[in-house]
Amino acid sequence: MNDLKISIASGKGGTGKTTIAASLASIIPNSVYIDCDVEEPNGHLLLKPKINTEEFVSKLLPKIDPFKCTVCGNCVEVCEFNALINLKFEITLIDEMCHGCGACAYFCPEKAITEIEKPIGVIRRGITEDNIYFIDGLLNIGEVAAAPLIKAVKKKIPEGGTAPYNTAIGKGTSSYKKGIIAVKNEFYDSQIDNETTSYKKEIPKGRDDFDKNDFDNKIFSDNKSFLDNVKPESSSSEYFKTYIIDSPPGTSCSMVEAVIDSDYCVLVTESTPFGLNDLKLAMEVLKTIRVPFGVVINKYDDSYREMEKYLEESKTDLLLKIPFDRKYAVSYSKGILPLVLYPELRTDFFDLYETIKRMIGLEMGKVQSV
Amino acid sequence: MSDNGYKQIVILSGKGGTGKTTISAAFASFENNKVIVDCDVDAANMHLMLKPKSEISHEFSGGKKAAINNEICTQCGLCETVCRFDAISNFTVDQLKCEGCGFCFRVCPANAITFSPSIGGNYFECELEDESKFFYAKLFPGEGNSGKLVSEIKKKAINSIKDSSRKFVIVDGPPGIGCPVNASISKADFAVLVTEPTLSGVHDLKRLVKLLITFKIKMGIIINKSDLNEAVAEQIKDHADEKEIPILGEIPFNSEFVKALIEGNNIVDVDESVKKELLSIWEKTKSYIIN
Amino acid sequence: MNQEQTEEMKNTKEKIAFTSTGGSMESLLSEQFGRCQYFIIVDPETGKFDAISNLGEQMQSGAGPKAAELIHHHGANVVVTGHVGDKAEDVLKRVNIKIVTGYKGNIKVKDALTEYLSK
Repeated sequence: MNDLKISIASGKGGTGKTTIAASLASIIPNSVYIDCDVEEPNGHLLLKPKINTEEFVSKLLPKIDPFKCTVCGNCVEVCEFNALINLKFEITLIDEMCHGCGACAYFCPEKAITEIEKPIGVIRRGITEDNIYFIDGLLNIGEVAAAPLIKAVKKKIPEGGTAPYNTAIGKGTSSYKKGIIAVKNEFYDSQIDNETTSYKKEIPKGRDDFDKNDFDNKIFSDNKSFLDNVKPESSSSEYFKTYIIDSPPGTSCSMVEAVIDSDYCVLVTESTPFGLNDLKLAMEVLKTIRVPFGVVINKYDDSYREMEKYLEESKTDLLLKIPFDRKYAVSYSKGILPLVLYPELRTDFFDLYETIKRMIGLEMGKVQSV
Repeated sequence: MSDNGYKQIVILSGKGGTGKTTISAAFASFENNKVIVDCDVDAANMHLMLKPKSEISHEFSGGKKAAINNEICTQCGLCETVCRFDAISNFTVDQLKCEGCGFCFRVCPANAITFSPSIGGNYFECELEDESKFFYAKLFPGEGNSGKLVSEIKKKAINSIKDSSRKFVIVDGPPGIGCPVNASISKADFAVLVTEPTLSGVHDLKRLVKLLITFKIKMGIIINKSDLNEAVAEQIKDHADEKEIPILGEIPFNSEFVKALIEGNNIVDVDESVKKELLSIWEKTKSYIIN
Repeated sequence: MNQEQTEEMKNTKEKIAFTSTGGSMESLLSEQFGRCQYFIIVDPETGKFDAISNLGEQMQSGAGPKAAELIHHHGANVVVTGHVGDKAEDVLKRVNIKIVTGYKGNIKVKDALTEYLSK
């Protein structure tokens, strides 16, 4: 089986999208969590990764050579984003407004414009205590170009996954966490271009095999038998990686950029008419860009029937219902993933993951049969 | 304030899901003769709660998009070469990817590319049961909310108040702190910030306060779900103290909020204690505006 | 800015731009800079004024700096309005236009002019 890209989106803010995305990442072996909500990235508050690389993302900006420029105003005219301003004695650029399309440089009759790189934000990569690979993007305040940063964050996806966490874990030492962090930077530097497949062959052991146990033992030692039952079977098919993409809320161009080309999209909604209304908007977008999707109802309340009725009528897959519970909200307010404190949720997320995989399998079958 | 003495109150939250719309709708129910504007055009919701009795739909224009006329196109491929947003392939423009820079339109040697405003979505002018006016908008998928759209819808709302005896404009603001928020707070007499004691709630609140201070707009804070996390609630109060912003009220976590939402009811029709609290908050808000 | 331009600034007469909701001195002042409907540019010595319609109202983005460019090209060296955004402020400063903010939209342009001149 190939690597999976699962995006998590919601039409409305505050539905628990980030919580769901982070929870899912935390129970999936070989997962990489990617926060594409670059305007308000919150995933790091919940997953608390140790960040070990930060890199700037740039866009191209025009640079005007004052000695060549005749202030003819051609560049100002072709700029659709009002990023160039004619001050009469010179042309000035407003960095944040520029989309980097390059039209000004092309149309400058004096060849006075060259393009230079300017940082628009930063991509952070790291690893969490329970070995989830973490990538997020942070847009500079006032910057308009969210979509290009999201694109850049998504380009990091293959790199984020190819780091060899399995080697460190595979040795089975109790200090594996330190080990990973130590080898990680080295790997980013030296093996970024490694093919995913090459190390899959070298490392025959799935990470979930013991690291989940280890993690579980630490936190849920009193609950061991329960967890043994819910832990997914470790098999050779688990060596592919799963990328969990946390999309920005809404239905705008940045949401489209985040969810486009994912294998499956989980739409998170809540049991209210607001939730349903926004869900419909998000569904429309996914249908337009042809990404298969299913729905998770968070803060589920069985007195609101309309949601399920609508899902049934529109033949939309309902993946999971998470009951409304004050204690989950309290946990979130402290920056703790609810499933860490309430292990009953873990079962739900394991099931959710299995369901998604089944859905993707079906989807692929569909494509092949066409 | 304006010539006929109406007051404009904008309700903001930064983060989504804090109960902003519920509180806006509650405020709206306390006054007759008002105009309500839902500026959260990415995910307009207030109409579900206010249930307008009539609505008129209008179109509004979105950003410019390019399109290739295949009858004129000579398939030279120059447009595809210059486009930096991977929006052109096989001599067609992907409308979702088109950034609207117009480079292809200007560069095309055959003049085969058009570049004109797309329809960004619809806005609705509604009347409520109590004859108040209500405005909201719906964007087409992939369109971004913009300061332009918020300005436009607010202007329609203000125009409808000018020749009337209406006393209040209640604006349900967009989330975030970007350009749409700037547009939604223009001319506001007072801003009500609805926050919740969570880490992300505080984070967003601070950014919002900073923005309002630069606009010199008076404000007050409502802490919703106040008992969710006492420590973080204290943090909010400390921040408010420091910036000399009044706390208008605290609303403890209340499942009636969600229940009211589900049933499509206004919270003030469902829960007496919340109604009392919100009414006192509203009175307090009004006292700040008049002074 | 070079010496010559600084000299030029000193010698030019004051020309005041008001953000306005309409095209006359009777119109109400606009609190918005970039997205105001009109600029009323007044020469206080002669009392003559020009009403310039502001295209920024229709702009998707970047209306503020563009409005600064517009009044600069019409020779204004003072702007009276409600609030000016950061980006527009930068441009106005670059071209030495004095910024007077804090006006509310409940005042007529002519009254704002009287008030400004009395200061």
